[in-house]
Amino acid sequence: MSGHDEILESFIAEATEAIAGLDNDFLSIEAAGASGDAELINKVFRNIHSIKGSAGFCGLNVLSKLAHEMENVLNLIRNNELTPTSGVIEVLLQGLDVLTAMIGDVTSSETVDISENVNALQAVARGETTSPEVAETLDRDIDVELPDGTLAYLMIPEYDLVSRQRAGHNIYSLGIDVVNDVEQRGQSLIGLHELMIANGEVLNSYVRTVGIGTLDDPLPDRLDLMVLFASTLDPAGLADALLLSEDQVIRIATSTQTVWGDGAPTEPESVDTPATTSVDSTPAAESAPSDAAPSKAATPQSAAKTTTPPPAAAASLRVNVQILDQLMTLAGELVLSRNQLVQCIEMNDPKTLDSVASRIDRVTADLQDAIMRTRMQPVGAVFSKFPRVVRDLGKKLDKECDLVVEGREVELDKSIIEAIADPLTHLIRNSIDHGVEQPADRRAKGKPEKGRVDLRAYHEAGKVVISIGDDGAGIDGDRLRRKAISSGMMTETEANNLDERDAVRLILHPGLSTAEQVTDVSGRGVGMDVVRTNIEDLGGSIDIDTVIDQGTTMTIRLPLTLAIIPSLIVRHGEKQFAVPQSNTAELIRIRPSEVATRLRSVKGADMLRLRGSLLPLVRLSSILDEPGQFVSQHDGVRQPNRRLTVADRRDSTDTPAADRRQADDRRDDTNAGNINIIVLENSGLRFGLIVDELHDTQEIVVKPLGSHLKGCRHLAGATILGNGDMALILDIAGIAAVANVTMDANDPVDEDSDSDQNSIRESQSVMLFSACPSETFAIPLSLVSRLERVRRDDINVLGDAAFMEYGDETIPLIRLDDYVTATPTPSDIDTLNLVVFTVNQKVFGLVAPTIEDIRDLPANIDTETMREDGILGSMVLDGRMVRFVDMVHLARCRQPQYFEQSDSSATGTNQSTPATLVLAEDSSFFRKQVESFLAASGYNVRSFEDGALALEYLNEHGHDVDLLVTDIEMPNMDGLELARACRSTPKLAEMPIIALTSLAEESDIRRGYESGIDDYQIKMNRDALLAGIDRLLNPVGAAA
Amino acid sequence: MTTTLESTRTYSIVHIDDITLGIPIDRVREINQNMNIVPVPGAPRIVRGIINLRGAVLTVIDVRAALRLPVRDDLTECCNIIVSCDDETVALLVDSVGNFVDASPTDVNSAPGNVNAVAGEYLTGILNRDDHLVGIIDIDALLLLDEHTDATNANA
Repeated sequence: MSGHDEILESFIAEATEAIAGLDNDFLSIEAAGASGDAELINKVFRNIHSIKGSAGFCGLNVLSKLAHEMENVLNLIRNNELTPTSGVIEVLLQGLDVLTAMIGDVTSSETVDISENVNALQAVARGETTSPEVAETLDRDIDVELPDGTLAYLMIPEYDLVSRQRAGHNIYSLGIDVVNDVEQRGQSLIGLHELMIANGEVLNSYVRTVGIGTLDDPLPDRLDLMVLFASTLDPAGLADALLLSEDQVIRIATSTQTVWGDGAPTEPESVDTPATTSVDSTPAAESAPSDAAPSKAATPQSAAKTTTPPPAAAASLRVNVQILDQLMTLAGELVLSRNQLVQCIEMNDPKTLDSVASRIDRVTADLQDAIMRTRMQPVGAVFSKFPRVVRDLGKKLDKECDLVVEGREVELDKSIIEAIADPLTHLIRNSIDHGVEQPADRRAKGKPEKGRVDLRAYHEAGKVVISIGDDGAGIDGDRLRRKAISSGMMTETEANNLDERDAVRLILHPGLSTAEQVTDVSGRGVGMDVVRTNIEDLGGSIDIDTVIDQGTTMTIRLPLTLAIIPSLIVRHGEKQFAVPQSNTAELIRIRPSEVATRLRSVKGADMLRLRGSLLPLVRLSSILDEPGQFVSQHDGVRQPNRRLTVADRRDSTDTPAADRRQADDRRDDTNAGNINIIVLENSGLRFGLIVDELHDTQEIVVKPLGSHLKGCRHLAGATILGNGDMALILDIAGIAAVANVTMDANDPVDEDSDSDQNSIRESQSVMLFSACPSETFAIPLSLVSRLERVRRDDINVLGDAAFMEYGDETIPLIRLDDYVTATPTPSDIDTLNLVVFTVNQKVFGLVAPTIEDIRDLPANIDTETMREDGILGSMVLDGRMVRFVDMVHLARCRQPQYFEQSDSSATGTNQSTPATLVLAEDSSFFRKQVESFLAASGYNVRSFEDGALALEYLNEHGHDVDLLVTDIEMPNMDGLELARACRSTPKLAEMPIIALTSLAEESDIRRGYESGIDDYQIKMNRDALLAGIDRLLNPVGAAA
Repeated sequence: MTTTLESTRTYSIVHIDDITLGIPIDRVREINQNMNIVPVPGAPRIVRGIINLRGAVLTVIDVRAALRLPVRDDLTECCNIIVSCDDETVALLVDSVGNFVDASPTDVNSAPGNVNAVAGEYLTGILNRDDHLVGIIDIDALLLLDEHTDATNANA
């Protein structure tokens, strides 16, 4: 590298540093206005000054010239001779942009045309008041056109024209024949020029050279000089002053005056096309050279666009000296440790080996940490460009917006900082373009006109979180649903089944954008999915929180560094693989006994039933099962077997033989028959990966794979584990692509479940358990206090009855087969599950051999088919009969003495006549349930299928009814309407109303109370309901 | 690579069965016997796996597979020639390593259609040494066997 290159390189580094953040400083100066921060202005001045100096030294004259002009303006501001108005700052910012571009590409900086910027800066320095529009006119060159449509002059910056006009000058086109008007009259061109300068300003001029021959030719009879001239004189006066005839002076009116002129003549018809000016036809234009057709110069380049990729300056990194010192110290320690190790091996002394090993371990860890820290950079480096983005975009879109930045000091790995800049810019632009509304709309919504965008970075749970929040319009989930439907991405049912969060997340899918109209700022729907992909490529995730009319917050979670990632180590066959933990959602182990209920095959694809939805399963063996000599013989034989087994399991596991065969297939007896599933998430896809064995988690260092292995989409790299073994790192997105996991497969809709309107509206959380695979029972989750796993030995049996010590009391245990038709608990099971529940303040335990699942089931329960005491009803679920257990009945049978008192209190309500209750409930199952236990408690019950029928009855017999029990969700008239109707009817106004609900949310309850409901009870909680009824019928005061 | 056309070049001799091949020494970085090769499922046919070379993960190219010879299961006697190729370092798996030979460019004849069952397209030339032929391996051509050409060839 030559000496000059080195100087250039150091200039680039220095100038890049000096220029960094200047745009924000300019913005601060602008914000401070006349009362400017002297220190800040000084700092900016010094930076520009030093760029000017070094650029001059490097021979970068153009760069130096621009910096010089900027410095002049800054000097005026510094001396309070110029107020940093928006217009002034605009000109400075434009200068800065060009300066930045030139520094980024110094080699071609000498060819950059900076005349516009220089003119603008000089104009500002001359104190010519400018406005933001000035800046635009600086960028724009216009042709001066004569009345016959020919171009009279080379293009000149529009600013030159407009600023003269603004100062009250008239613009003239002078057609001078040098031969006849000057030479023949005994004048000289110099004399003419002096005359001109005395009377105005020459803006541009050119000589028509077409007619001139060579020196040998006779002198031409005319030589036209065209002058574009600005003067305060009127045409006649000017012609006199310049000794020209009046027809040689043509006045030009430019339409651009209307853009920002305030007193100048206007030509409104051409407001929008200021690129040409037309010659006013006042004076005759006869002598104007009509054939003047100067070549229309190519539009002068905007300097910022001429950049080619900048030289290698970006590849260097500034490191804190402290960290460097620490690295030196650690390197020294490492050398010492090495010496110790060598000595120790030579001496063959195993005792000191331990201490040496631990020392090396510590030094290496510290070294790694320190080196990682050299790569850490504050996110402020990226954040600092956003104030400018917000300002410029706000101006462009006529929206005012504040950017509030927090957490600039939060550090991230250099590579992540670089990669995050574009996605963040996109999100910020989105916030302003789509989020923040127009000031008028904001006013209408009662929000401050000025929008607000919050940009925050902070640490959370070992990750860096960057959130971009706006107080704008929010994202409309329904609009996205409609878009998804209209674009054919999903069917109407699918879209409607998405919950609000998932609907909003649709914005992250390709082809969907909320912008109804595409703008050049954002939109087009190509943005957000790219943002998501970029972030996920970094091992991060993106979440959206949005409230209509309140705003949207995008939350990005990023790993601190890319080089070291925490991973789950799994084994498959003889090989180990690493699964990045950022993709891992949860781990699931399916025991052989659960296979029948949890795994199923849908259209040939394996699925896992997970909390009510189906999760597509991918077998790692099938992903790795590539023809090749590297699959071990052992695997090669085993894999086809396993595949059959997994696919067939659902049907075959009813026979114990299948389980045994499956167990035999396994090499590892400790895990016999268990299926290990890693639930993985990537790019909105969720799927389960079946692996042989799960090991520990390790922090792994990612090593890239060679170019020959680039085709292996399922692999993200390799790593060297703690024991020196190598493990391949799985690429989750690649696996999803290879296995063809799609969104549809992840559809949460369970196709087996009955989906009539009723069941969708109302569901009940139940726990499923079984004693043997063919018999499944369900109990309402709301009744379950907790689940216990107990050993069979811990159960005490007294006669026929079983008890167990639970806490400091002995609780009675209920065995299902003692009370209902059920298979007894297999005697070979050592540990049992105990469902602990409370009835009438007494604790019971229900023996449940295997807990299968917790599901939301529709309430359309068949109360007839499986009718028996202790069973409430049944339903068919996934092809199996599920019976609903009547917990209260079982508890009663088990410990009748517990209920004697409560029964008497409920029945004998201390009233001579039994109270009459009206029950409104649409689900026949619940209606029959509630009706039966209310009747059993001694009440007269009239029940109705919906609110309208109940109201009809109440209106007729209202005076006989003591209390109303109503469901909330009902067809025709819902519970809230019914309550309101009762409250507005005088004779029903005082009647107590209890609402039944399967899931009560705080907001629902509040709405209920507002409608006049007195109490809320959870469905199926018989005792609480009875107690509630009792409380309302016999208020404490009245009973006393 | 400062060797000019006129100067002699040194070749590292490797053996595969009874085939003798030469690798330009300026491409060879080291020779080792690290046979702890981790197979990569789904890799192209010529890739034997990856090895850990002092912390760097290198792709191991099985020269036998590349030359369409039957691959070996037992690697105990084998060697890895670590060679640089473009901006990457790869390991070439061969049966054994022999001496070095010097040869001037005039000693190297252009490669015929095939030499000892080695297709000429992977050779830059032929060297006649001590009554036997040494095929000079064209490392770049060998490593360029990507999956596409691999697949077409495999079907042929």
